Amino acid sequence: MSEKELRLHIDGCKRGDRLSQQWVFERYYRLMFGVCLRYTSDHDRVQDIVQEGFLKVFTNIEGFTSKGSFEGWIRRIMVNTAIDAVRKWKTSALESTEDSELERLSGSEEEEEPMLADSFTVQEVLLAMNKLSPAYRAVFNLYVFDNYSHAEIAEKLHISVGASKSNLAKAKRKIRHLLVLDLGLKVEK
Amino acid sequence: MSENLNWIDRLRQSFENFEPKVEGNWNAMQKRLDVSGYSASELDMVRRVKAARRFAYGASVVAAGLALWMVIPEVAEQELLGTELESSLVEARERENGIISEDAEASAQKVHDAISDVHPSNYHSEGLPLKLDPALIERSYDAGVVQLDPDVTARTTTTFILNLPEMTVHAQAPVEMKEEFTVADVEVNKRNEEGSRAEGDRISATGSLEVESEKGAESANSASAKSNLEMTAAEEAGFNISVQEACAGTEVSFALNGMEKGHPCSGTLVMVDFLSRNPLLISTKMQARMTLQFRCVLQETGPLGRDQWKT
Repeated sequence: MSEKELRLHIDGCKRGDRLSQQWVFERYYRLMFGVCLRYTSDHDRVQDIVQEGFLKVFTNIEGFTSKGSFEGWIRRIMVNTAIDAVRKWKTSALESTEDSELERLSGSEEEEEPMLADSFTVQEVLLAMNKLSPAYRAVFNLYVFDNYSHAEIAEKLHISVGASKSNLAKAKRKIRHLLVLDLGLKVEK
Repeated sequence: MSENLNWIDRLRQSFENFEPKVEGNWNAMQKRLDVSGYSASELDMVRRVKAARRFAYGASVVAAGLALWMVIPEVAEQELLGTELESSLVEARERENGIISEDAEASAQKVHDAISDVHPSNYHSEGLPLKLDPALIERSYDAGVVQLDPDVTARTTTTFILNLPEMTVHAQAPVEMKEEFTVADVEVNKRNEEGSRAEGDRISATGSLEVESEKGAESANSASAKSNLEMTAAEEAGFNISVQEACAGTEVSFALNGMEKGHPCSGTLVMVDFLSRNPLLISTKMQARMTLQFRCVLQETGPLGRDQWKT
C-alpha cells in the first residue's frame, strides 16, 4: 500500500465513495479488531465495536486533516469506541478498583519477582489480560498499548489521576504474576 | 534482569502488527452506512448545510453589530438631552434662589421648554388649570425644591405672581354672617396633579374676594340636597367636570382684609376632591383667631374674566 494510494482512498471516503470506503474497511479491519480485542475478549462484541468504529471513521473522515497518521487516527477512534462500549455494558465497571484476586496476589509483593520468559505470544498475554477487572484492563491497555497519559486516562475513564496510576501498578503486578504463575512463562533459575 | 525490567516493552512488541485472522463483513458495514445516510450526495448536503450555517452565524453577527451601531447613538443622545435638562433646571433653580439675578419668566420658560423637549406628551400646558400666561407673570419670589421626573410627571416649584381676578365665595347655608373681604394675597398652590402637568406652581395674586359664609353650613337639610346644590353652584360658576378634574388638589391660601380689626383671618382653600361623587368639596381652614370650616363656591368677577381664571 503506497502513500499515494492511501491518499486517494481517503479522498474517496471524503466524497462518500463506497469503493474507497470498502478499501479502507478491508485494509484496517483486522488491525482494529486486534486493538479492540484487548478491551474485551468477546469476539461478537469486538465485531460490533469495530463496525461502530468504522461507521464513526467514515462519517467523520472530514475531520482527518492528513497531518498525522491515518492508522493512528482510526486507532484512536476504535479505542474510544471500545471504552464507550465497555462502559455501556458494565455500568461503573471502569471505575472499580477492587479486585479480590489482585489483593490475594499482593500478599507476595515483597517476594522476589520471578523472571519472565524472553518472549510470550499475544494469545498468552490476552489470556492474562482477560483475568483483569475491566477497570484495570482499561487502564493497562490505554497506558501500555495505546500510549495515553494518566491525565488522559483519568479524563476518559472519569477517575482521578491517582486512581489511574494505582490501577496501572496493580494491573502490571497482576499480569506479571499471571504470566509467571498461571502460564509458567518464567525462566528456570 | 534488564530484560525483566523491560517486560512491558516485550508485551508491546508482541502486539505489534497483531492482526487476528478475522474477516470483516463489508456488506453489513455498507448497510449501516446506507441506514446512516452517508452517501456521496448526503455528504455533499452535509457540507452545504455546514456552509449555510456558517453564513447564518456571520449574518447574525453583522446584524447584531448594525443594531448596536444604530441603538447606541440614540441612547447617547437621550443621555445628552437629560444632561441638558438637568443643567437647565439647576440654572433655573439658582436663578430663583437669587444666585442668578434674572427674571423668572425666562427661567420658567426654560424649564418649560426643557420639559416639553423631553416628554411633550407628558406636559400638557394647555390642560393646566392654572396656565402660566407670560403676560400675567410679574416676578418670582419663591423657590422650592425642584423635583423633575419626566417619565411620570413634570414638577416645578417656580413661583409666579399673577394678577388674578376678583373672586366671590358663596356659602350654601342660610346666611347668618355676611362679610365682604378683599384679598390681599392669594397663593394658589397646586399639588398632585395627575398626568404630567406642572406641579407645585405657586401663584400669588392680588385681588378681591367676596365671601358669603354661614356658621353651621354643614347642617343643611340633607346630604343629597346639599350635593345637588353644590353641583349646580359649581356648574354655574363655570367649574364644569373637566375644570373640576383639572383643579383637583389645588390649594388657595389667602388672607382676608376688611374684617373687623379684632378678627383678621387668613386661610387656605383646598379643592379636595372634584373627582368624588360630590363634585364640589371645598374645605376652608381659617387660621387666625377664629377657625372656620365651610364649603364655598368660587366665582371670579375680576377684570381677567372667567376664561383666564379657569385656565
